[in-house]
Parts: sequence; structure tokens; C-alpha cells
Amino acid sequence: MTTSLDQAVETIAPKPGRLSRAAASVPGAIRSIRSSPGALSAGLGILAFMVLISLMSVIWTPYPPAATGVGPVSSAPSAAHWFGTDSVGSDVFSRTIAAGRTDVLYTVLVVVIALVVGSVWGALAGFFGGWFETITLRLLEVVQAFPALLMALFIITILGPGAINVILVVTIIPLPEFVRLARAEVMTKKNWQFAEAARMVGNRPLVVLFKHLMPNSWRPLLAYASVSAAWVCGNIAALGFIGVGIQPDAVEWGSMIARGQADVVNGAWWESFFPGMGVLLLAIGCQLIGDGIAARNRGEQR
Amino acid sequence: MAVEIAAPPARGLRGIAAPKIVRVIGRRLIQAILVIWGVVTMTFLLTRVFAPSPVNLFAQPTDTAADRAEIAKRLGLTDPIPVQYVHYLRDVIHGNLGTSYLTQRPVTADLLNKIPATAELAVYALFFGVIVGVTIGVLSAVFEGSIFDRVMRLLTSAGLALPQFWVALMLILIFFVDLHVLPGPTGRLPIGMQPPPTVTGFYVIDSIITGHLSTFWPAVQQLILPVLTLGYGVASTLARGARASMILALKADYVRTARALGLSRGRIWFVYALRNAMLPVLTMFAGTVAWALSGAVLVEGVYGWPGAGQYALNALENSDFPAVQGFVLYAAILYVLIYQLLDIAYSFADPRIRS
Amino acid sequence: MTTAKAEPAGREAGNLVTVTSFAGGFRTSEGFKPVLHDVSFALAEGKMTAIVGETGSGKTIMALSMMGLAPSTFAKTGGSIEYAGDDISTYDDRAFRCIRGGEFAMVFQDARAALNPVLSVGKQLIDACRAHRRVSVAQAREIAEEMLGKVRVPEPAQRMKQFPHEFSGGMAQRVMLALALICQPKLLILDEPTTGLDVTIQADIMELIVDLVHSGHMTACLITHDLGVVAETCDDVVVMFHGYIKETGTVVEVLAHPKDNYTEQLLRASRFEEMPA
Repeated sequence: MTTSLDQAVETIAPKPGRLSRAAASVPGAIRSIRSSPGALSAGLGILAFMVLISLMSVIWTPYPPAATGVGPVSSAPSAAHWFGTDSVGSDVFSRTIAAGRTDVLYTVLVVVIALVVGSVWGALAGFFGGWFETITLRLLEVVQAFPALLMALFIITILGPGAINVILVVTIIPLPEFVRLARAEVMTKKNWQFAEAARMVGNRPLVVLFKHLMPNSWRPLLAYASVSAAWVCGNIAALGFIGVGIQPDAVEWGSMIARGQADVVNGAWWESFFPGMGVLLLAIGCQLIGDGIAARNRGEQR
Repeated sequence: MAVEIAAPPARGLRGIAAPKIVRVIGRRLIQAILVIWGVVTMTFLLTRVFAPSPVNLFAQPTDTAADRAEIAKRLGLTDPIPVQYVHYLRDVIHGNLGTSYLTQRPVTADLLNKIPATAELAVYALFFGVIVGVTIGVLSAVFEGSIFDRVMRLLTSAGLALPQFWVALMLILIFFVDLHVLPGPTGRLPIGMQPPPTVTGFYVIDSIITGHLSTFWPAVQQLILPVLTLGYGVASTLARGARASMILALKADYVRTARALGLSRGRIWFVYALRNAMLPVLTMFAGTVAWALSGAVLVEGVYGWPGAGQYALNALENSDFPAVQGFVLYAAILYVLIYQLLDIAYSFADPRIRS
Repeated sequence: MTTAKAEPAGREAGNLVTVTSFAGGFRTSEGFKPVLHDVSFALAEGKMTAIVGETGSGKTIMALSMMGLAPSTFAKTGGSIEYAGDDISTYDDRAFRCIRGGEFAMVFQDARAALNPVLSVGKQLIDACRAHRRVSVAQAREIAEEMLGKVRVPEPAQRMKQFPHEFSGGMAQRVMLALALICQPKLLILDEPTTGLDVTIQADIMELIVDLVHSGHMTACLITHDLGVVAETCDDVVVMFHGYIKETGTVVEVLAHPKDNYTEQLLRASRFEEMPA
């Protein structure tokens, strides 16, 4: 009779062809996503839709997004301009879908970077402990003491405008939570049997950490990634609205809302309305994905 | 008969046998001070070490190197970093947050001037958010799956997904531009109206206390939209949290016991489920305070509200560095204090932590 | 220790609760999963009946159905639970509220989780007491203290003010018993009351339960997987497996002369070789 320890050793002893085994699990993952509950599918659908539209806008838009004076100033939605025109005569529809490129891209970049960097950092802190962990925790405490958006605004004032700076600054906001989650996961699991077995067989510590502990810890991290994506796109739009970091005339939803602000008092609702809908759609898509993942995590734990 | 051994009495921080309450508050206070110190240090590092030199903002293109050196000395930038750090710490402890490049006045004075406006807005928004949010959340949980629940979940999702500045604009559009029911974004009072004499700085309260009732209603009217805007976000967060928390509480073992014992439904909801459900919500509340502080910047901008948020916005647009720094520091310190206070409150509310 | 009387179980007269062909299952995302099939047994008045089975046998869901506490995903598909001339399996929640506590009481498995963490033990006892008796708060407090004494909690007056997390597993289980008994029920259902407790404490608790049940002339239903406990304390036994009744009868009969294969397997697995004295 094989003990559970034997079985554990069997599964984690160094074997050739790790990559091919990883590749084999991808079809399984895709299969499970397709059969998942409505929220997840809806969220992914929305996200896919937005990515598609954004890509399409690279090839074609009714009018050049950055061009001014392609139509009458501040005219209401019409056949010629589906979403109307704004205060400098740009076509709102073209700008809205083109802005999707910026917002979706930045959001995805921020979430991915925060996820990767945060997870690695947190995993290392949880696994090795010691002064590294202590310093990490103190640092997180201080960073999280700043209200999120304010910290971003503060740092971007220091760094100045630019795409990279914007991404960097917005990444700082969700980063601490990823670090905490990854650390918590690693700390819970590093004493479990399979980890002990992995160490016993002779794997080096980093291998144990990244090949065995991390792959089993991705669920809560992924869940938080989707939840935080909604915040991230809101913060990006906020930066665009204020005009710090993202330049005031940029083709970005927040900037568009700011441009339409003055005309709102005159009743020109379309200039700010549609970009806002863009943010809403993206954020809700992310929320739904997050809900779907959370539901699946709960289901799998039963 | 088996003997069950009682746990030995607990000893606290370094064995100091002070009453539990003092120990808890003391520990929290020390933690708060440490974090604030960290915040101040980080602010210093970011500004002095990473920021571009402010000399350029004061220097003329025609200045010589010697002139620049003079300016640098005046700004205290020629001292070695540790010395600058000590000066900075000393300044902050004395409440000196630097001098605004824009207004040439002490940042602290400017902020103190503007804070009552933001405070009035934030306090009402938080009040609104807590009452509406928690109520909706609890009701959604009790009637889980009903139409009410589904509609509320939709609304709260939107509340978290929509940018606050967009909501502000849309509200102005609907209620001011289209329906003419509420006044436009002219700030705390209609243009030309004088504020009541200052007692608390809250116009609504001051107008009642000092008897200047003519400013009461206009002040309230000007507050409605901004409070709704900020409060919507707060309410959405708390509603979702309260709902999740209440659902868990209703499913808990102790609720099943209460039902098994035949207790009345009202008692089960309010005393058994609700009291347990509110504990996590207390912690969430700290987060909404941070949200309100950030959100104030955006919302005040749209409504022309002359508060600390708008001050920060102005400073940002004009690269008024000390002002931005001062505002961020004030916001962070406020957040830390409130967070610790709420933590202390939580310790008292949850008997498991109390003993 | 009690002597089990050699009387046939399930006599019509003298049964407090009669379950007849009760069946039901869970609504899941994959369809309807039946968990109880044609369950019939009776709880004889004044006696202690054990429902024995392994995990998944349906014994807990059967007990919860008797209290109307089955989860909302559970639905009855047939049969009846007869009590005091009514089929209580047709009761809605409001009707059940009339019998919960005052007539049927239940003691759950994990006592510390089953008690409200934010209320003192005393307050919870007073709540339960005043829900079923017209007494003032002061009187309820006295009754509660007395009850804590009856379940052998030392220093009851002091313990009343404490919170559930300050009690050990065994003590918490006694509190649960006190809570159930303070309502003065006719039927006491105990769902694995000693699982998770130390062996010595298990014996204490079982002795206490038997003592209280007999001195209070209550009917008791003990759900357990431990045949040893059944042999020592119960009068009748019902054996369940995967939602089916395998065998019913008095403890003496069933344990000495099991008629069903499964019962035999259970006996062998618990290495039960002797009959109770």
C-alpha cells in the first residue's frame, strides 16, 4: 500500500519534460473555463468584445481620433457622428473606441505586472522570512497608509508624465495586496506534506517555491487580479481626468470626460457620457470575471 | 472525572500589568506613530531624493550659477540629506508642511482653511453611505435572490465601476441642467451669498447655531449632489460588504442553533446574525474613509467645492510641490489615525479579541 | 449505566415520533440527488434511540428534517414524520417555530461553533429560556445558572458572563446541552455530541446526557457512528446506510443478533464482541 507521502514524492520528483506537461494542462484549463458559470463567461465576453473593438479601431475608425474640426463643434449624436462631437469638433465615437486601446492596454499591463511582481515578492517574503519579510511588511504598511489615488498622484507629480510612469504609478496601488496574498498562501502551504516531500527529495528551495508552492496558490491571486482590475481602470481614468501623467488631450476615456466637462452645463451630455460608459463596461467586465473566479474557487473547495 | 484546566492569565506588552484597555490602546497608538513616521520618511525620500530640484522653479533664466546656489541654500537643499531629514521631521512635528510655491503661504495654513469644506462634505457622505449602504446590504442578504437583491447588486456594482467624476457630471446634467431641481456646481453656496459666521466650519450647522437661517437651505441644496456622488461609492462598497458578511452570518452554525432553540426571527436577525455580520463591516469602513479622501479630490473638482481636495487639484496642475506633498501627508496621517481608531473599536466589539 | 429493556421497538402506542417512508434529496446544479429512501422508524417515548451509520448515510439530514432545519436545497419527495397527530414534514417554518425548542431540541456537533461568539453564554441561555417560559430576566438568569450547574459546569455564576471561545470543547458541549434543556423539550436530538472531544471527556458527556434524559423523562435520539456508545447508553437502534434503513430494533436484539449484512459489518468493524451488560 502506498502512503500519501510516497504518492506525493512521486508527483514532485524532478522529471524531464516539465514544459510539455505544462502545455498539456492548457486544454484542460480552457475546457474548464468554457463550462464555468454565467458570470465568468459574461465577463470574459465583455472583455473580449472590448479588445476586439479596440483592435478594430487600429485599422478603422469613422474619423481620425486625434483630429479636431472634423465636424461641427459640440453637436449632438447624429447619423454622421454616432456619438456626437466634442468642444473642438472631434468625433466622439472614434475617440471613444480608440481610447479603449489605451485604457484596456494600460489596465491589463498594470494588473499583469502587479500580479507577477507582487506574487514573486510575496512568495519570497513568505518562504524565506527573516529580515526580508519584516522589511517587506513594514514597507507594505507604509505604502498602504496612503489613500490609493493620492499616492499615485503624488508620485506621478514627482516622476512627470509619460506612459511608463503612468503604468508604474498605478501598479503601486494594487501591488501591496498581491504581495500579502502571495505571502499568506506560501506561509500556509510551506509546511504541508507535498512541500515537505519536495524538499526531502532534494529540490533546491527556489525550485520548491516556484515549481510546487506557487502553482498551487494561484487561485486567490487570480481572483484578486480581476477584482483589482476594476479599480485599476478607474484610477487610470482618474489620472486622465485630472490631466496629470496622462496628457489632457490624450485619447483616453478620463481625458475625454474632462474635455466634455465644460460643456455639460450647456447640456452636451454625449461628450462625457460615452467615455464613462467605456470605463463602466471595462470595470464591470472585470468584476464579473472576478465574481466568476470566486464562485469557481468556492465550488472547488467544497 | 476529567479535569479541564483553565488557561493561565494573560500578560501584556513586556509584562506590564496595566488594564487591558490601556494596553490595547497603547499598542495601537505606538503602531500608529510608527506608521506615520514611515509615511513621513517615505514622503521625504520621494520628494528630496527622487523629485526634480525645485531650484528651477524659482530661478530666472538669467541667473548665474552663484544665484542658483543662493536659491538652493535658501531652500535648504545644500545640507546633507540626513540633516535635511532631521529638519523635515522637526518641521512636520511642529505642523509646518512647507510653503506653497503658488500662494507663497504656509501649506498648513492653507489646508486648515480649506479642510472644513471637505470635512462637511465627507462627513455627510460617509453618514449617508453607512446608513444607506449597510441597510441595503443587510436587506439584500436577508432577501437573498429576490428582485430587490438583484437590482441592488446591479446598482452597487455600477457604484464601484463608475468613475466618481463621471457620476458627478451626470448628476449635474440630470438634476441641474435638465430638471432644474438642484443648483449648479458653484461651490458651497450660491454665487454672491455670504457664509454664516464660523463656529464649526460646517455651513449647515453654523447657520443653525448662529441663527443665520437664510443660508441653511441654500447650503443644504448645494450639498445634495456632491454628497450623493461621494456617498454612492461609499454606500456601494459597504452594501456589498454588509451583504456578503450577513449572508455568511445567516449561514453560520450559531444561527442554526438559534433557530433550533425556537428563538424569534427578529432576534435571530438582529442579535445573532447582524451583530456578527457588522464586525467585518467595521473594518471595511476604514477603507471607505480612504476612498472618500481620494474621491474628494475628484468630486470637489467637478463641483467647484472650495475644499482641501480642490486645493490639491490646483497644486497638481501647477506643480506646486509642497502643497501636493502637504495634502498627501495630511490625508495619509488622517487615514492612519482613523484606521487605528476603528481597529480599537473592533477590539472592543469582538469579545474574542477582547480577552 | 442503564439497563436496556428487551421490548420490541416501534410499538404504535408510546411512540413520540413516527417516521414513515420518508424520502428526500438535494437540488444540485447537476439535477436532483436523492439522499433518503423509504426511511421508516419510530422514536419510542421515554426511550433513547440511536441512529447509527457512517458519513453520508443520511442520519444528520434525517434529524434536521425532523426539526425543519434541513437546508433550502433539500426537498422531501415522500413520506411523513408524525408527531402529536400531525405530519410535521408538511410544516412551514412558522409552524416549526412552535415546536422548536419547546418540544423538540437539538444539540449539535461542534459546540463552540454552534454558540454565538459575540454574546455571553449567560445571555444566550436567558434568551433560550425566555423564548419558552414566561419569566423575568432575573428569574431566567437564576434558571440559567441552575441549568449550568445541572450540566456540571463548575462555578456557573462566573461562567455565565464568559464567552463561548473561553470554553473548552467539553465545556461548550455542556453549555449546548444546557441550552437545549432549558427549553424543557420533550424530544432531545443529539447529533454526534461527542465527536472531536477527548475520549475521557466523551465518556463524561455521555454519562451526563443519559442522566439528564432519564431524570427528565425525555425521549432522546442519538445520532452517532460509535456502536460502543450505542451499546452502553441506548434502548433502541436504527441502522442507516446510504439513505436506506438497514435494520431497526432494540439494542440488545440488533447488536446480539444482527439480521442485516451491513449491521454485521459495522459490528465487526467496531470490533464489538460483547453484548452490553
